[in-house]
Amino acid sequence: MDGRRIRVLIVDDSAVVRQILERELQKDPGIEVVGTAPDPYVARDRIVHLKPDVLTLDIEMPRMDGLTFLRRLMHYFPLPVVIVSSLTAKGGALAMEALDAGAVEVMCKPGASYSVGDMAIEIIEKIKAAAQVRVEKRETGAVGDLQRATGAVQRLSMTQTTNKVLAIGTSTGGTEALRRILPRLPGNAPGIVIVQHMPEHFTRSFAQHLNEMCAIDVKEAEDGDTVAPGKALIAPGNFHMLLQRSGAMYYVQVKQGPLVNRHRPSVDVLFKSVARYAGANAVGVIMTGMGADGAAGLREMRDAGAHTIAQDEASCVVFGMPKEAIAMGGAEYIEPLARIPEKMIELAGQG
Amino acid sequence: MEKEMRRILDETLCEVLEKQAFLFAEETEPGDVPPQTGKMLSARITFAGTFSGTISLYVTETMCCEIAANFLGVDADAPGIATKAPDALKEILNVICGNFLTAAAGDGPVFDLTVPQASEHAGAEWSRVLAIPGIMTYVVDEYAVACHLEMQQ
Amino acid sequence: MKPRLAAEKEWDGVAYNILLVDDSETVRAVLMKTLNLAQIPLGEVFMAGNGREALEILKENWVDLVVTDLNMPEMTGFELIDAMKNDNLMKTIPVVVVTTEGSTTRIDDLKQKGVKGYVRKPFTPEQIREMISKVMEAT
Repeated sequence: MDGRRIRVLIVDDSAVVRQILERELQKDPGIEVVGTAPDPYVARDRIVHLKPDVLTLDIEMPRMDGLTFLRRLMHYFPLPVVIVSSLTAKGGALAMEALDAGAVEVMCKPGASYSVGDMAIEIIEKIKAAAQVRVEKRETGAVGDLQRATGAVQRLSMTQTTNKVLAIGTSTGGTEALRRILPRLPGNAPGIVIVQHMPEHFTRSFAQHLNEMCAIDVKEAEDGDTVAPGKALIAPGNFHMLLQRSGAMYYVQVKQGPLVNRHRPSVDVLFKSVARYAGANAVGVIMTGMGADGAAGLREMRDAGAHTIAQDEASCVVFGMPKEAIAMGGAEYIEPLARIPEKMIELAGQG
Repeated sequence: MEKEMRRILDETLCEVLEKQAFLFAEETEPGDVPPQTGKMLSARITFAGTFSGTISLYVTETMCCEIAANFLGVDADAPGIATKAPDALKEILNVICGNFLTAAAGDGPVFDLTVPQASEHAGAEWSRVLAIPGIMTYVVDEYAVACHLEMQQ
Repeated sequence: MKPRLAAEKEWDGVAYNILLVDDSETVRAVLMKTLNLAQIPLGEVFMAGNGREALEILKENWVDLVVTDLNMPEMTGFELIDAMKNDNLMKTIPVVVVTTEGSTTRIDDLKQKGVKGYVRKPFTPEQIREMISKVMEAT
């Protein structure tokens, strides 16, 4: 943003939420709240006149719902949008649709289980990440048009996969990146552990959504889940996920703990545990996202003998985490998103 | 049956002119239509469904300008009103035809309507129009309005 | 100093962008006049002479309500409604039909396709105003 403050417009039907968000955001010297809007029609007027850099959008609004508004926005005035949603099952499903429609981040509304303090840290991070995203215009399209991943990756033989672990860490832009790579993996792909920075509850909807698209099983990790071929575990929001080993079997530990690199789950926490317990049997992948979470962990994985991949700049929504990982010497290969599935499987097959 | 159709069309035409253009048409025998000056405008629409046919509407240009002006809520001598007259005539005919069909056939049946076509004629054409068998004629102030329903067998 | 947005000004800027579709210039002008006189907050008003022109406008402009005739040259209102229904973006835009069409068979079919309102020609400005207010309040 070249030292210029990020201009933010807050769209929310609740006056209280507008007030809290405005107050918290104003505390950051890098952010300027240029306006608020209680409804999509007012929001459009403000967008046209105030030209904000980033929008925070309540996805559940009366009248024109947030999702309809978002779809139109992405077509007529594309700009980075951070979705603010309630912590309900419906909210989670809507948030997934919002990411599908082009929103770059999702986060929780402050509420009973989520304090204003937690939210303030998170939303400022997310707004800064969103401000770096160049949003492309979404074309109108025929109903039922879904970008389907093409080009399934070749299967590996069973002996090549049983003791292997694929570890993936990502943040801003990661939901879309995962939606593009996971469906291309064969049903017997090595066990996968994933950290995607995302709030609690949304990770469950996200895992369910991926599960419907993939040959492998995708689920939100629970403490003690085994890591096995044909299965991917996504760290639940607000918990760290660590790889553990019992004899020849890998499993995950899901636990609370302090924020690491301002995140929970943290990619570093996962990668460091993978370096320790899987060593050369792992493949580490760091993808799009702001900040440096995972860079140190990827270096540890590489030092422990694992093959490692960083997503290249051109295919990243935000080239932050991969850039740091490359700078720290943790990235053995630098690959565009489209090549990552093949490369992961190829490296996993190399013993 | 054609006679009954003409009666329904007559009612619809008067109603639409009154509602849409605030003009009150008085039914007249073709022979009693006062001489008209200036150009004549006509519009034609064809419908097809339970029964099919064509409706043609003829008016003096001055009268047509008044239709357009009343339609638009402006003065009849407003600049450029003459250029809008054919469009207003087509629209009036379109509305007359749509309402005539439901009045005649009920609101169940489906009809296809063509897009109305307008054309311009010399004032002398009135004598030919007034001689068409079955022509329905009206007077609004001193201006003539004529309508013709042609049913297809 | 940064100007603060006063709470009472928060609703400033509510305005609807409306697309009027009718092959008759006269009808478009009458509808425009009705909108201006009605207490409907107007943003931009777009005009199209047929369904194809309407689709072109919808691709480029953010429209909140489409008011359309049915019997039009080149591309009819029926075809326009079908095309909108088959587009991810346009399918959510409410449509009000203003037409001479009186067949309940056809009107019911349009309602099945999601058309929100129907006003029969000849219409009065009050009928148009009421229908638009009703549709916009429900969306």
